[in-house]
Amino acid sequence: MKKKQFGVLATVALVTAWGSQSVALAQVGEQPRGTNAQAPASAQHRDPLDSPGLRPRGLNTGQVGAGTLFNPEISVILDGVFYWDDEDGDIPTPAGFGGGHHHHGHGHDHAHGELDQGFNLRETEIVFAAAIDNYLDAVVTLAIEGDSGIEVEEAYAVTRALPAGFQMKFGKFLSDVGYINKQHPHDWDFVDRPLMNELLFGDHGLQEKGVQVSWVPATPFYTRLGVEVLQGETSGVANYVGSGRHEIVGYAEGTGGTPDRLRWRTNYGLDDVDGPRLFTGFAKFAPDLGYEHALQVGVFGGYARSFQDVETHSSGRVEAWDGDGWFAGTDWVYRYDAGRSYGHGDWRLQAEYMYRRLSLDYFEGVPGEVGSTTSPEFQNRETRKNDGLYIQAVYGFAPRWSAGLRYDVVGLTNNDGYDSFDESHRYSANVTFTATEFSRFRLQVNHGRYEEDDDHGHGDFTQVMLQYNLSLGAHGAHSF
Amino acid sequence: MKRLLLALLLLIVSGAAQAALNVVATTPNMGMLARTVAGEHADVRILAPADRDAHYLQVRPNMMAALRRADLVVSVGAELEIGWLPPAIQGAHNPRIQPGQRGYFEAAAQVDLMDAHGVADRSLGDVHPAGNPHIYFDPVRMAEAGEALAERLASMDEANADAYRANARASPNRCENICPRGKLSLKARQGPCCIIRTPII
Repeated sequence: MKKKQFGVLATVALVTAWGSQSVALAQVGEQPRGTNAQAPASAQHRDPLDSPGLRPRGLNTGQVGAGTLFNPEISVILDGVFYWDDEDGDIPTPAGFGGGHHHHGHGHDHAHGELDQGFNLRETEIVFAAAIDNYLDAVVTLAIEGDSGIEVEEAYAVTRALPAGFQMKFGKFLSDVGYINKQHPHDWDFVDRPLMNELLFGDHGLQEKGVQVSWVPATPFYTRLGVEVLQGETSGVANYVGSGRHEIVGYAEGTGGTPDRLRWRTNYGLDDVDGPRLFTGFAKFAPDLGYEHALQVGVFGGYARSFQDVETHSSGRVEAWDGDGWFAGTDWVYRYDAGRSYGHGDWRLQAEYMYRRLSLDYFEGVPGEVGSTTSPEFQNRETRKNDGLYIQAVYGFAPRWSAGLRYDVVGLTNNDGYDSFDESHRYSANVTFTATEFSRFRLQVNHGRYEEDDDHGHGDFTQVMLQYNLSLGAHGAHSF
Repeated sequence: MKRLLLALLLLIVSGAAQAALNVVATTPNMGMLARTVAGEHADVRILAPADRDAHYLQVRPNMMAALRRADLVVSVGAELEIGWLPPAIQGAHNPRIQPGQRGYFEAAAQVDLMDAHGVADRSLGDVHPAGNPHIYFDPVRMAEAGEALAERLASMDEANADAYRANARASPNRCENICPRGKLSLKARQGPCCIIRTPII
């Protein structure tokens, strides 16, 4: 009995000794020669299973590297709005801007960017910015719309080493035409986009893929001239459909009085137009008015060599437009820096005007029976002429507090090719509390008087918005 | 049209042919540093007036116009001007003054900064995680920055290299010039200003 016990113990001891031996052997490779003898392995590792490879080694990894130093600056912009209006969340589109005479009533489909009554999560922007190398900087802005869907809002590179005052930008970016167009929603002084920009360009403004070249000459006053070659996909000025057969879903009177749902594919008769389809130019001038005052005046314009649009109706009737268009405008910005704390006494005045003209061939009809491939013919020509302007003023009435007023008017010129309409107005007032550069809270009230398409009357509405705008992480400073 | 182009060309060429260096300083104290070291060999223009808080400035077109023509921008650095200098440099379309180039000078990068690499969290307020950028309160650090600036100017304008170095040595920021030599312990400097924190007489 005792012998057997001794035997077991001896085996355990042997195994233990072998274990510590192997640990000691393993350490020879890591420690300088000779130290192993002076420091017995058993003293360092009392547990034979505690092998050195499993221990956290602290910072001495035997490796020198940049780690996360090359990571881009990352920031997240949170933007939420509590919204209320007196039209049950159904604000109409101003007359003449609904996309053609024959386009009646948006129904209850919510246009992009339209807010629901109650709490809204607007775009959550994730911004990455870094130098690519010594020739290029890059910025990527991802927008998470509401609760779902990620959109690449901007993804571009800018040169940093071109000579003679030239700079090139390429990728997807917000165009530099006008003033507010290149700003992200969190840069705005108001909760919403000016009507001019929203209705003449689209819900995202002029945001396109392409190339921009701009030039700043070495003059005593600031001048910037630029041209952009863009793909041409912006709904307001360069809408694109292309050829190919599209699916139409319609209803026809079926047997027994119940409508049959029909589904067919047809060709709208629109041709493919290779990109780039949109060309823009801009010029900005700013005299040197010293430290307190800053004024910048800009002119801009653009030509779209293709504008195509299609409207399908449940009866099977299709409307299609095919043509080209151009736009032109001017932007004015004045800022006064009072030099007091946190924007107290500062003024920001801003105004823009823009005119858009689309020359379109128009088709209306049932493009073909089920399975038909015949192309429709475009019979009529129509010219849509629209314009719009806004003027806004923001004054810092106390440290961190500012108040703003804005007047929007669209449709001073307002003809959709068939009819002329009166203009639509919107008046906005807000108060903004900027706790720090990183958090901002804003209360805004809009009162609108929009001309309506069908009865040529107008409708009034009121909107109230309470917004938070937060910036998290390392966010680059904004340009002028 | 031809005449206009010629005039434009002359304007560009004359801009480049100016003898003096075109230096743009972000703040009045950096302007003082640049004027002290460069002397008559540079035209120094200051972007932010003395009564403005350089932390809260916003970029303006006249900043970009000034930076467009600059050979050298002298900034405090350590992210003090982060709210306006980076977009001003990007809008200036001037490759000479891009960070990393010879025409970009940060005074804070030339000296040891206090309170560097501490805990940084925006709930702590406007902290400077890269270290305290307010080196212009410290004559010793300003003198060091002045010497670094002299070397930078010397590398850009070798003809006047000796003048820049001599100006930096004679800088009124140097502690020896403020207090007689031997009465001030430079070894014990730890605070933002050696005169305040180490009154050894």
